Amino acid sequence: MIDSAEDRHKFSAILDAHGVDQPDWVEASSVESAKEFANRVGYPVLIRPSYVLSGAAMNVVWNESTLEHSLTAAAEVSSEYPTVITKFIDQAQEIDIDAVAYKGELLVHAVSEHVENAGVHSGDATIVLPPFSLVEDDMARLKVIAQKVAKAFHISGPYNMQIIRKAIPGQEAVLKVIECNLRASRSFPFVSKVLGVNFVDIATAAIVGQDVPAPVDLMAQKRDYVAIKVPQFSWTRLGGADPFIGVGQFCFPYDLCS
Amino acid sequence: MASTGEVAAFGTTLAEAYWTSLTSTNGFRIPQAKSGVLIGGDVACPQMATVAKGLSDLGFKLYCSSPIVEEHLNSLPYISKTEKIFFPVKDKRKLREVFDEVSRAFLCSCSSRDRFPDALVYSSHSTTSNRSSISLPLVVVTNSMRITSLVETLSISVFP
Repeated sequence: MIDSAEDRHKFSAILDAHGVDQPDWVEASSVESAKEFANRVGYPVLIRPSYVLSGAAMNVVWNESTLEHSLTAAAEVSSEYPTVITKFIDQAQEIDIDAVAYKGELLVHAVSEHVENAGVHSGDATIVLPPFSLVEDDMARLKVIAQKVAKAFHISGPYNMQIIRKAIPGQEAVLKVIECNLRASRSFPFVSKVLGVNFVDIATAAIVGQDVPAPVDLMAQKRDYVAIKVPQFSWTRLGGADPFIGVGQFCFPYDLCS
Repeated sequence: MASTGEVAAFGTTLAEAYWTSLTSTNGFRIPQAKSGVLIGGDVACPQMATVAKGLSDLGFKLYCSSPIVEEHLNSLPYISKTEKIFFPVKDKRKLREVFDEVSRAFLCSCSSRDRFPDALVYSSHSTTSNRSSISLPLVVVTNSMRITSLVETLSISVFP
């Protein structure tokens, strides 16, 4: 199952089969195929080498010369080490979903909203729970996406997703899944504390299949408080780094070059 | 000791929760009323105008280092005049004096497109000013949505 989520082909095929929307993407094995894709979907595009943690070496590219540079000088692209290139949706909101499922059925989920537009790593982003700008229709659709993903991967345990939301005047907002990890994320303690429900306990019960609680929609409960998580950087320790946040994570830096 | 990670806080409103978590981070200094703010970034970013207007309404003095930003901000109606300042980028002592004078509060950079080619024209300036915020006691905000939230929070919670 983890392989299904990490392998981009399997992941996308499963999402497609279950009717879950995602941005256009390609696994490029040469600079030419990367350029062809970028010209077809239009810039900007997000490039990321396969099997990396925390968005290391990920980059948003706005034109062809930068794309070429990124794929030749910064990272070698070849058929052996293909690079995944995704259409980057500019000026869009990013939403985090943390959830636990049992045998493909959603048990609990938390929908958190990013203050920054999509393109800032979730570890470095300012995150608000409960969300402040999402309408009820969005919340219902996000829950359906969480349910579809749980079913698609037959999840028993914790998982998290990042979803892009782009508002279109007069139409319902576009919601696309950009990432899904079949594991607990670092925001698990945050959402547990804010919602007053221990997601780790529920995930443990779901994994061992014992005393599994009944599904409950925590987001349907109205709350008279809001919680915000902000990043704490330590730029003083990163000599020469420009304190500019991006798709690569700085809050817990793995790779300063990204 | 500089720590790294995340800080979360609760509040009855968005502004209260945001202000509590921000002021709990290491090195955050509360902006002094009527102090200076240095604004930089990409003028194509729509948040630059709203942020400048919000800060001007709160009584902050606006500064910039780029002639493009200066022209853009001074063309907007109903906001105080933005003053362009020169950065002695090679002399750290002089640079510090500039910051002492103009930017006791914080500096912000509005860029809708991180490292967008047009913004790179002034990258030497912005990197210098961004990086200076580390060695000097300044708050730096380098994300347009983040500075928008901060200005809203300042107007609701801090200088109502």
